[in-house]
Amino acid sequence: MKSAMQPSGLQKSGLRQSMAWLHTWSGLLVCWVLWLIFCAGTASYYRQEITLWMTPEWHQLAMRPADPVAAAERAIDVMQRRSPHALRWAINLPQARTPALRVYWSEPAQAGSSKRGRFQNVMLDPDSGATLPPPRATRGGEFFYRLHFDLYYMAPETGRWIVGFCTMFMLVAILSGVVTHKRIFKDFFTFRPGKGPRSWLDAHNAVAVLALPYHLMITYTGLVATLFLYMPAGVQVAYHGRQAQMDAEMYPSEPKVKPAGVAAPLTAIAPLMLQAQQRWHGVPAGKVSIDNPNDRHAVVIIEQRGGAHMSRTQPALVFDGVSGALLSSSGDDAPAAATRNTMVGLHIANFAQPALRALFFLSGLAGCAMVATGALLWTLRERNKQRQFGATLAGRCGLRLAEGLNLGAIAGLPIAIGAYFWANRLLPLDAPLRADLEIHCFFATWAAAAVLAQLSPGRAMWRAQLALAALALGGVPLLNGLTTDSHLGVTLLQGRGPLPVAAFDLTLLGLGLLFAYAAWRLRGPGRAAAVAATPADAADRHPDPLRELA
Amino acid sequence: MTPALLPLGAALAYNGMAALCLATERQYGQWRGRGASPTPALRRGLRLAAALALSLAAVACIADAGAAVGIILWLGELSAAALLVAGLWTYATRAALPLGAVALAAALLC
Repeated sequence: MKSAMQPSGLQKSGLRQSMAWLHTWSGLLVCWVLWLIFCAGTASYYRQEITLWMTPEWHQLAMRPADPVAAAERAIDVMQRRSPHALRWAINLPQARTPALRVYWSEPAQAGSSKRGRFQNVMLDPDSGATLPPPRATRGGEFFYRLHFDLYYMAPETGRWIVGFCTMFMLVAILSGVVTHKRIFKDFFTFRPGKGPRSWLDAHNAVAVLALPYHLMITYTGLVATLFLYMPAGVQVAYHGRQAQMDAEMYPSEPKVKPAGVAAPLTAIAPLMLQAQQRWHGVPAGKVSIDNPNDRHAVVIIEQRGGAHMSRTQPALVFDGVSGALLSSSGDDAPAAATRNTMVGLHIANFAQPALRALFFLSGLAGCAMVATGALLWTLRERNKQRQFGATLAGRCGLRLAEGLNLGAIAGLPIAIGAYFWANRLLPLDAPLRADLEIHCFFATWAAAAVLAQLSPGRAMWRAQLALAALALGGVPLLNGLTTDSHLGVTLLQGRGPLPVAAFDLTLLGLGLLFAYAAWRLRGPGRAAAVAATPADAADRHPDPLRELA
Repeated sequence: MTPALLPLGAALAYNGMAALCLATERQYGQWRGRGASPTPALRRGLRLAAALALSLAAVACIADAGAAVGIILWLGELSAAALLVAGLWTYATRAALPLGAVALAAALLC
């Protein structure tokens, strides 16, 4: 208990110290999972681009911008021949970030069976309407997106609980970190390299403070995204646990219309799409679905292309499929739903145009750096402490475990990400369960790196793994050059080839160079350490493998 | 002719952050030589200029993308600019200020 007599300065430092404790432990306990969440989440800003890179079969397609109206007409032509009496056709129109024209449909139930037909899909060439062969099986960027909140090898709900738990710790770490940062304004721009733990603290502060709005936003909206899983009480009280009823009220949709069984010609799609585009101030459609085609009860639903609004739900218009009359429009969410959708939309950032998306990506990288520097700081300081004051067996084991986890996570994850891309190009195209195999390659590589890191968490292993990460990521443009015709030589030098593929190659080359630089800084035993070890900083002198990496 | 708002906002954010940086004790010393510290008047002036530049950056971002997305864009530009200033101040102190002037001129002229 503090007495009222204590000077306020002491009280302040007491608060600051308890916040420092909170910051250290809330951060350390979950930092390795947070590293995965931040890295996978940052990659997810470009998940469509990653999918495009991992699907070389689409690279040429991505070069031809398709007109959405013409593409929809083409798809309907094809479906009229292929399955004129389907229950529903759903057409995903080609867009800048997803160049494929894809149609989904399901056949009505066969006579004498109550089961409706299988849900099928086909990829079409938007210009000719020709069926395209299915591309190689891959989860592409979708893997990182799911990994980021569902984890893997477990039920999605379990993963979400773990991620939510870590996110809550993250929020606590951010807020307590702000309170405990003594010189937040004086050291706003400060970075002093080559000074051991001091440099790591400077780097940690810089990436955390300078991108603080992003860190707060992404952590908070991340929690909101899975709010009802963590805090189900409200839904249970208001809806007696009937989630479906709440969903129906939050996202009202047109009631499904049964086919009349009377044939009627389908109205032309082009005027409806132009009408929708006009109503949306020029934003074109992204999806068209047609219920009960060629029936008197046909319904056409036109959904806006994503990316025009912050909310994650897209406005839609519903038309009578025979007369073409506008039946209803959706997209004006109730205030509560709109608030939540906007927060989740802000987290996913589908609305972000290239410049803003790049800023989100950059801030995400700052988040990754914040987690990594924070994790390294703890082991550096703990090792210092143990060197000076000695340590119990438990203390030494804890430090060794944390050092191994740091190495296995911070250097191991980039190697695994590289392995995922290499597997995409090197696995045989007809391998069974190919998409899963790519993911197993990712985890097998990561597990190997993590085990090696635990066996020998020292400087040599850091150098080896950082160098391997540099090769695995930096070698990706070369891999692309050897396995496709849309490599940097074509995309950059000749100006032909999809821009996102070139950007992907260059980004990975840059990341590879970053890891190569880190490995290079760890070369030779202690040359830089000898230079830096002046009497002035003898207090934090220690032959730590990471000390001169900053 | 109207300048492109997005680069203009970025250039303003960078210059605002550079002015803020110059107004801090340590960074001023790094720029002017060890031991030098900005006079209170200079410090006030720099902070005022920074406030003006950062506000104008907000105006440019909001004019470019609307209030909702513009504010997010502005915050993103502030973070990126501050990180760039901090990095340059450490590794290329001399280049940090001229870069701001060049960026602003380029954004206004292009």
